Amino acid sequence: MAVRKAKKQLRVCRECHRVVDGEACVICGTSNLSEDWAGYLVIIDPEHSEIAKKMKITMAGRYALKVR
Amino acid sequence: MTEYDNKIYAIKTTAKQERTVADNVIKAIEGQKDIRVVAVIVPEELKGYVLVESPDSLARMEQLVELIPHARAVVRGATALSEVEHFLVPKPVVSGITEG
Ligand SMILES: [Zn+2]
Repeated sequence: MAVRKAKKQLRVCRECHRVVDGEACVICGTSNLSEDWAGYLVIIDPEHSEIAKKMKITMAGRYALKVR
Repeated sequence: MTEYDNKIYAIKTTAKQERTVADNVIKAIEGQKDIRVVAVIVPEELKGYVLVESPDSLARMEQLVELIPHARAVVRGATALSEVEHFLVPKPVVSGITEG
């Protein structure tokens, strides 16, 4: 596929696993980011999500399950 | 509030579009109140499926699938979070090697 290269690899925060747009994590403020991650989690309504509670996530957003 | 009555549904997706489908769930439910989804899991071990956490019925999830490109069908029947928890807390690969 010709478009494959255009899709840039998302980076995630090594500390809270949040997918980061830009240079630093909006939660932790760190720029300790990783491109090597797997599994994906979208939290839409953290207040009503058992998964969010389990993962101790309080902010809606996109997260990685595993970060290396 | 500490207890939820949410269910976990598996949605079949086009191959390699799992993440796209998860992102599209957000767009699909934005600005409407009929279908509620609180979270979506895309385990790397589960090819061709995403797991949706919702308090709603299977019929609502079928409506949701209609709204999402690359979402193909809802697997019949819901499951509990306890059944899919192992996807959330993957076993560490290197630590805790005690066998011997
Ligand atoms: Zn972070």
